[in-house]
Amino acid sequence: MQFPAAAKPPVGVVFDSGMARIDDVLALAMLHGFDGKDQARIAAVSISSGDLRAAQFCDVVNHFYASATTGPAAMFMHFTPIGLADAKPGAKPAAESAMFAKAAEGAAIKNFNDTADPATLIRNALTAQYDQNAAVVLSGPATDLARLLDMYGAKDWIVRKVRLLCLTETGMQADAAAAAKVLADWPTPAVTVGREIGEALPFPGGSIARDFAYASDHPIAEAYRASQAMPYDAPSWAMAAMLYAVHPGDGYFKVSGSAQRGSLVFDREQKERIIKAYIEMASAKPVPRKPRRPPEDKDKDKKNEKKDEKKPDAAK
Amino acid sequence: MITKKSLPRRTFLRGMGTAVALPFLDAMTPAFAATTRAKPPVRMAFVYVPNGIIMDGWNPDYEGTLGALPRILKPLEPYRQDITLFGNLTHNTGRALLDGAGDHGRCCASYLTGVQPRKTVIDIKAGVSFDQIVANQVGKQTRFPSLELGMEDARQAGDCDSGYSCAYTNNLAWKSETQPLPPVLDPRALFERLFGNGMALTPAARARENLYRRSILDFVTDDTRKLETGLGPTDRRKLDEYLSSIREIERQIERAEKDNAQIDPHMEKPYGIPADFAEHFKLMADMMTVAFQADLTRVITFLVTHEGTSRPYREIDIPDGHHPLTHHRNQPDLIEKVTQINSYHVRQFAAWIAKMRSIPEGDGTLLDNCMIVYGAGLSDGNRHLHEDLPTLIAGRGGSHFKSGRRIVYRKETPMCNLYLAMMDRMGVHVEHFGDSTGRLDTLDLT
Amino acid sequence: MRMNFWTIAMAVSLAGSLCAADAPPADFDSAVKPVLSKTCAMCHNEKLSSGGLNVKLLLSPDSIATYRDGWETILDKLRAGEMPPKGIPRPPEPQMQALIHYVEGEFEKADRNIKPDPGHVTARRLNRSEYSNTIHDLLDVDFRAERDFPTDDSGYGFDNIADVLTISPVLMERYLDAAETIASRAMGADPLPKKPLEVQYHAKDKSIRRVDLGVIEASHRVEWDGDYIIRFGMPGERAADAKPVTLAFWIDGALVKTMPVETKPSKLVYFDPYSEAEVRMYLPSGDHVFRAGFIDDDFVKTLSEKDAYNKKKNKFLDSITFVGPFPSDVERASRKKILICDPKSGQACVDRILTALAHRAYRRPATRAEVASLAKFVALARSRGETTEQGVQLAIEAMLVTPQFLFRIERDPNPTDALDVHRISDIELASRLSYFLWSSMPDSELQGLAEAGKLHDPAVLDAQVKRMMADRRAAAFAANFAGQWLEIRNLDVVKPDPDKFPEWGPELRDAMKTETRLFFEYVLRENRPLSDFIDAKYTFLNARLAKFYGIPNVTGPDFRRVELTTGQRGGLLSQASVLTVSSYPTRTSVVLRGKYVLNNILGSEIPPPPPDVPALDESAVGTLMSLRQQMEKHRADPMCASCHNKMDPLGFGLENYNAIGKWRTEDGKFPVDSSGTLPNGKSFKTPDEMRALLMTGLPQFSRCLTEKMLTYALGRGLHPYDRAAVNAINRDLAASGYRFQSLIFDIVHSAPFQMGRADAPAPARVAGAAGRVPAPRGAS
Repeated sequence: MQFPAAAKPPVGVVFDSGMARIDDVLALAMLHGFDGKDQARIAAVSISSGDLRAAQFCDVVNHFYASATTGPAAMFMHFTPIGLADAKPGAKPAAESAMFAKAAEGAAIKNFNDTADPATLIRNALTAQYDQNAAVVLSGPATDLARLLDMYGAKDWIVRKVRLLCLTETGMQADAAAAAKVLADWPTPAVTVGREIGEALPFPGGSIARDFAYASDHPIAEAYRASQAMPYDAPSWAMAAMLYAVHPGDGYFKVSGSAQRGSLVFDREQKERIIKAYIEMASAKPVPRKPRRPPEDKDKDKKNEKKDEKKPDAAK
Repeated sequence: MITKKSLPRRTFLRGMGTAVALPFLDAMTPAFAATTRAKPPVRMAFVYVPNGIIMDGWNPDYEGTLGALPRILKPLEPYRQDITLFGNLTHNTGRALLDGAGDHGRCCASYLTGVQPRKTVIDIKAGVSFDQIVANQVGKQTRFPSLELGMEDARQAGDCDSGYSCAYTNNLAWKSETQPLPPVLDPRALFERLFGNGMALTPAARARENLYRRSILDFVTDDTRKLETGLGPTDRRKLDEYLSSIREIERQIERAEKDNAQIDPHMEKPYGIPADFAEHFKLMADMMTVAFQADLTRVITFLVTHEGTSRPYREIDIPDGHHPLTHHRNQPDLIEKVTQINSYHVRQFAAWIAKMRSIPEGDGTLLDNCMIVYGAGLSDGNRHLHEDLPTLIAGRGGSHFKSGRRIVYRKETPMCNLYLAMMDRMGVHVEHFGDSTGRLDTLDLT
Repeated sequence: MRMNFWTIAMAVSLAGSLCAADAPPADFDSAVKPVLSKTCAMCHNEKLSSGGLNVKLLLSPDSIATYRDGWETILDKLRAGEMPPKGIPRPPEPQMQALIHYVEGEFEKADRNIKPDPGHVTARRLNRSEYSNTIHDLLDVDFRAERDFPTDDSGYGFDNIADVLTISPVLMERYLDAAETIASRAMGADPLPKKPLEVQYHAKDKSIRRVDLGVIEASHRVEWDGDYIIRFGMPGERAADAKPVTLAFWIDGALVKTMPVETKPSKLVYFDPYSEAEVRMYLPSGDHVFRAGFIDDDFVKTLSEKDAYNKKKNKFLDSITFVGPFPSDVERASRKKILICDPKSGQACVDRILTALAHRAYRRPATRAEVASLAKFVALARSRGETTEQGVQLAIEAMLVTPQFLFRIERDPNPTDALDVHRISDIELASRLSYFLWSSMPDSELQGLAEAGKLHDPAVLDAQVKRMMADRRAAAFAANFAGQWLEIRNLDVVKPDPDKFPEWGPELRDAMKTETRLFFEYVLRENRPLSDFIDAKYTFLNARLAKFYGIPNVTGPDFRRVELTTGQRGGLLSQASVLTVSSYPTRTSVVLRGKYVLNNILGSEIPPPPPDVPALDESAVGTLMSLRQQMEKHRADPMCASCHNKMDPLGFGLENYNAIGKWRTEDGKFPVDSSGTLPNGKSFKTPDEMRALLMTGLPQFSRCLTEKMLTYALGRGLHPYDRAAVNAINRDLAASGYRFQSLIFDIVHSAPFQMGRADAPAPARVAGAAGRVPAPRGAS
């Protein structure tokens, strides 16, 4: 017997990015940090480019954060696949970014079919979230989300499960058509992270040597060093989006604009606090995982009724 | 058993109901003999095995043209050119999705419906299974829209899986979202259903039978109508179920009257349920073969045993229950036993496939014109995984697609995408089914 | 889930009714809040919300109403001493008691204001055994639906639950074929073959099975009802001084005949000693399993498998031969029943026949219109030049597929108003009674009283219930209710490993079934207290089972009451049937058995493990390490502990019984340790001590049994609105000293059993007396 109201787990985060900027990598690290601290759950991680190396990297990161888990839980540890956009026939294969040079070896992902179609992956991930308990973080081209919107029945799931879409202005224009579609058709509230925000809140490169040293071959640190000549600070569009998506109520940012479509407002007061949160989450140590069991629902039948109305079953 | 010849039982007054007209002829006259010009129809069947499969023994380490097959699939190696092996097909609706434990109940109920079943022991609800969608269309042309077969009797007491009604694990096909179709387990019952009780009926006697059956059906139909007035919704739902079954039988009689196909199943009427697994499987397979060959039906679902079954396999010296074994926690000895059970099942299936491809039809074999899916609702039964489901198709769906290959799709590719492709082959065109995201396209020739 | 929440609900109100009164006037803030916010909040807070509970929501008095279900769970755990768990400081006992009393009191108050809602029972299809029994009582025709119809789905552990009894086309086909077969058999329209046939099952062509040393079995389909001569071939001979043995003959597991057989050499001189025994008896048509064997034959046990079938050393069975059918008068009973006048005498008689038949088939007087439409079938047959009898036969065939026959449909005077709670008609009551206690249609006496409007009169009703419990048809109650409640039906499904358990065989299996059946019937017939189920010092045995139990001085194939003098056996949980269905084919499972006891005896359900929790490695038990070591390891994991602390001890308490219920002191190479400690701290060392502990939980057991029996009696699951009724039953039951018959009377008297309402969502209900049945309409 449970109390559904009280039993809702932390927000489930869908993270779709180009994995083209170190900012995306750090945001991924933050997501793992939140997950380890039970402030969020990783619902899905997908990549809007066709870069297999990037997928391999995400896979390596998964295993890195799982490394602290031992015993029965480890035997039953099981990873959600990584979403990787389909490099359309004709389109030139995406540049395999230098950041992930080391990733290829040691990754369970060997080829394209070891990854999932992002739209399908996200749709399936949403079906497993509590109503209004999911957030979508988009950094880079909106290609995958645009396809998700076109997928039969997917919109129903988005409306039902997602409470917020948080997207970064920068990188979005790579696919202008998709960007336009998502901004116009996305059915839930959406908040944009403007260029200025990421630049005003640089992630301090010094943190890499200091806070990531606990692991000799920390994949995040390696990527950071590989992506640009050290030392450098990294603008934080995706990280800002991630932070807001998980803790919208904690006053890190203000929001301007309408309830449906807003944009983050930088608040100098919060700068220290935000950077601190960046570092704490991105450099969080792997923690042992307990297998999770969804709380039983007190009035299952009611819940199912809802499901039946909204869920697109059977053939049309 | 030595039997002295006896008079046929009840020489008159045997309802033909659904039975095929007998007496037996010496010469088999299948509906689509090699000689006939008619293009043979495409048929499909599902053979479902429970508790997942040891995937190391199932998945080849290569894609493309099939060569040597892994241990569990070995028995099919001789027929590999007739087989298509699929990788990464997934049934997301079999997963917990907030409904907690009960993967066995869920994966069976969602397998053909593509819908997450309601977690309940009472007001069961899944979806119309896709075999029934096909049956509703192509079934009009055959005596039986579809056949549901099984080999294991339902547990008689106790619960089935973690708060999921036994209806979810006892059945594979769903006529409506609340009405599963129970499989026929007893070879004798199946035989009588397909071929009658082995009794000669004169045309006159048959006409009489039909007349009486019909008048009875008419009688109960308007009887029920009268009854329904003043009843609440659930009561009425029960009676509607009853009426739709009545209508189904009426259709069967009509179809039976139209075609006078006279079929000799070339087998003795089975006594009952054989104790031996292989023997039981063979009897069911033989009758499925005839049912397809004589075009008695074009849709069959075959639930070999139930999800969560604890059936031991003494036939191969495995005294432990199947389900407890599958929770092997990576212990080699347990994994070995499960592997043996898996390949034992495939061995029975391979024997059936061998028979199907030995029968000429049109300018190919009977198998060529079928799509016989062999699969399970779980891949790893130890961890209850619902992705990369072990799935293969024997036959070419009417030389529609190129077999002899292993095709691996993207991860998370919905199983329902395969169903859409199969429905196309069956000439049933549907845009979406279950949680499909499109249709598998790479099946076609070339 | 519901059941579980149920038990709790009643625990609450029951206890409440006893203690709430004398509890000190406490208020929420003093009695409840402190414990919640100090003790519980350590784990059940917003961050962890262990078990999905966050007490923050419960810090206000009204939460007791809003989160009733949750509060009941909490009380359950507090009362059972499961919470707070080890390691968390427990508040002083008075404080805990105050909390419990306060909440119980609140529930009491709440429940007093609930108007009874008897619920609605959906139109219920006859299940397989109800169909067979009804056909038998209606037409005297033995028909085995179990063989011909698909398995009925079950819900809440029973296969008579209206909502899950669906009709598929396959089943409909079966109904039509069955109706035809039954009708022609009832009218004796099955012509027997001109001369009898002979069918032989013989060892040499492997058509018999050797199920046990000296016991053979053959599956044979009897094509015609009629008399048959059954011959048993017995080659070989024993020593000159060999004692005669008893040849026993079973049909489908039921012993039907025993006869003495000489085994010493006949004086006749021939090389190939051979003798035969034979019986002549009526056999109902259908698939049957026939078994013949020598029972209490000590000599054969001295022989090796090889010698046992050596004609020089032994006399043994090797064939069964059926000769028949011969005309028999048994079957014709049905004709007499149907043809109450000579149909040839004209329409009047035909109408009389059909009126009488429809009346009984529909379990209510048939309307003129109904009879008229049935009579059309006679006309139809006549129009085709067939006899009136054939016409009647056709009418019967039709009758047997009508919804009036196949379904039990109850009508609400006010089908749209769920608030119109009303007493069901006496005629509906009669069917509820007969299908509850007999799994069959009412007999003429019961039906007569109902139609005379007398049945609802308490005195008349009780007299009927008493009569029905004494009637032989009440055997169906044991078979169907007990068979499912205790999962005994699964004895036919389980397949213990013959290598590990050589004693296992059909004879032993049937003996196990019979023991439990007789035991249940005895407790019912003799109106014994429910405590007998837990720890009766007697049971019912025959030689075979007594030997298996190691109980001396029980001879012969027949069962009799046997006093239990040692602590090894006593009550249901020591009966081999129960112990076998709660085991794996190769070994026992403390988890399965623990779960069995919780579900079927204590009525508290254990949530299933999440898929990602590793199952206990019970297979290594007895080889790598002892079961207990295994379990300790398992429970070390807090993930598993929460539930296994509850299940495992109960399973351990039964470890002295192997997977087919034989007493043992060693498991593999480890001594059996059957001690355990329940979550409430009470501990035991032997099965006997555990039973003693369970006795203290008698009220809990009686609640569990009440829920299950009420579910079975109503053919629907229990809902929150049934709470009042179940409480009432339990108070009464406690007052009666937990007598078994009182339980049945209480259920029959209960509101949900005697009342109904339209099938519509139950609206909120206004104040009124709980659980009492109002005076019937039109009765004083």
